[in-house]
Amino acid sequence: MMIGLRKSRLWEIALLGGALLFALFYLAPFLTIVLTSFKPAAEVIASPPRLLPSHFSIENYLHMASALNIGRSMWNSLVVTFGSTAIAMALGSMAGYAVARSHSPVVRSFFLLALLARVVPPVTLAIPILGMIRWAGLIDTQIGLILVHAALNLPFVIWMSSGFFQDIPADLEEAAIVDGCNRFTAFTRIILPVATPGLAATAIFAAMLSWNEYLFALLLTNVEAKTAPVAVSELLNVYSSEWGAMTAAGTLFTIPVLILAIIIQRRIVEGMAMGAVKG
Amino acid sequence: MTYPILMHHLHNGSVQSGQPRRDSHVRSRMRSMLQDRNFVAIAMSCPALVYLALFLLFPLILVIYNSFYHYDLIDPGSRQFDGLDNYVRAIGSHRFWMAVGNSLLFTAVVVCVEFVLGFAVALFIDRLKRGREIVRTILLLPLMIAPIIAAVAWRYIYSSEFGILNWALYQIGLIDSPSALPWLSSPAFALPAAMIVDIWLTTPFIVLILLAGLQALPKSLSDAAKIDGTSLVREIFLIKLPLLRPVIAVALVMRLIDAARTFDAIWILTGGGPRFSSEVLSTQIYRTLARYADVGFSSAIAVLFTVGLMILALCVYLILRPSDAGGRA
Repeated sequence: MMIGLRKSRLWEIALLGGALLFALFYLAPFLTIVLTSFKPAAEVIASPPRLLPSHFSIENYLHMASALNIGRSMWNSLVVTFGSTAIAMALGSMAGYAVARSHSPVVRSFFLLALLARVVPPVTLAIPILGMIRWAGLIDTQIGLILVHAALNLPFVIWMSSGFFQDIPADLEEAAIVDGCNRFTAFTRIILPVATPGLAATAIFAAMLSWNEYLFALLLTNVEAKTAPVAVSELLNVYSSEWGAMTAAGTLFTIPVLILAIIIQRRIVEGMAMGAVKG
Repeated sequence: MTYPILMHHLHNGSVQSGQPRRDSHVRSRMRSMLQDRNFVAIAMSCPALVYLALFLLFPLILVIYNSFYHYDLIDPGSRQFDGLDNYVRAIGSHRFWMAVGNSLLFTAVVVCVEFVLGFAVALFIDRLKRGREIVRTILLLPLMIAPIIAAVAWRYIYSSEFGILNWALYQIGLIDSPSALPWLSSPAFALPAAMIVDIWLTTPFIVLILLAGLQALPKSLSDAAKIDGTSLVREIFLIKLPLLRPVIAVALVMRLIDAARTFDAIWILTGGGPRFSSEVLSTQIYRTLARYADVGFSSAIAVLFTVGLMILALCVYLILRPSDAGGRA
């Protein structure tokens, strides 16, 4: 009896140890960037490498902000993220509500569109969209990228929000209609407020996807509207990569993502499955 | 669903029983339209439909259309009908088949490793009594980080001068010198190095999906297995695996699609090189478009890629999907 008990406890400790080791392996690349970003510039490319900075330094951050002007691309990223999320949420939540409540063939065509968006490689869409954005004269503008990111996120927003709308009993809007709302005002006044938590999670998701998006940003922006992922990737160079600045920018860039990720932890897998556009 | 129809009639009735004034006719009609479930639903979907038609359907038609033309991005006046020439060029090109091979290899290896690893880790976490939440949270991080930032981190780790990985391998004695394993600069290692990053980046997706599946299985099942004296291995392979099959089928097909579409990580890590050894279809299409401005040729490859991926995903799904004849318990 005693032995059995002790054995199971040992087993449990071993399992937990294994899990922590695995988790540490998962954290290692993050720790590498964060720790490296606080090294003095010379230590970043020291050989043999140091695990920890010899002393805490913000040299890399200063270099990144002043010489390489990453701040501006961070601002572009922020504007594009907010703009595209606003458009995707406005159009997507209305369509998501329609998907949740109606079986009309027009509404059902969203199934096909969402499926297409889930399967078609972004790079396939990139070719004609580059031509379209050039034609519209929106190359290297925030608006051009906002329009495209909104489109990339729209199928996802429709899908995820329709799930939340389905969870709201239809009786609620029928009651609102009896009380004098029409179907549209029932949506804006009654359903939207109830769905707010779910829609907020959807918006966070859309924002993260736009913030992290690289392929279209790379194709559609180059100087004025360049986003942070593009700016960071430009620091990679065969001959002399700006490793210090890159780790600093990478750290700063990732902090907001991690905060948002913790807020929506429980929904992340669901969201990924529904077709987060990842390149 | 008689409810909406009933509501509709009720409202029409109430409108008609009101005072019949002529100028309110349009208004009441308008009001009854706003009560109609399908009318409102269609009206509310219109903006999104138009938007998706413009940015999803139209580009898809355009890419097919462009694939029949010779068309230089810089000089739109150069557009010239080419028939199937771009396709013939693609199919006859060694580089294209190399990219197809790399894409297939990358996708197959990555999805298989991720499934085996992900299933093992999910079983493992499922048995944890404590610390499950912490491990779960840590696993979420790679799913959220921008693939390009992850790739930058890994590129730094892979470096043969100041990378931590080779120095660690050197210290353990697995390699003779830190530069003995040129991860990203040798044709033999570039693709495997990219695979490792993708496995790191997306195994948590499989883990978390399968974990959710495992935790949804009735607990009585493993209790019964315990009473019957079924071994752990038999319990996993004969009971849990078949029951999870619907979840596995969906998760693997999604991973397959996403792995085949990967662009960011490979582009940052190797740029498809050295000497095209890690060139996959996404990077080839991007290069043909951005470097050579060859819209027609890149469109043709993109069409082949997209159609191929759709067929592959459908086939794999049909194979993995549990048959209706008693796959479900």
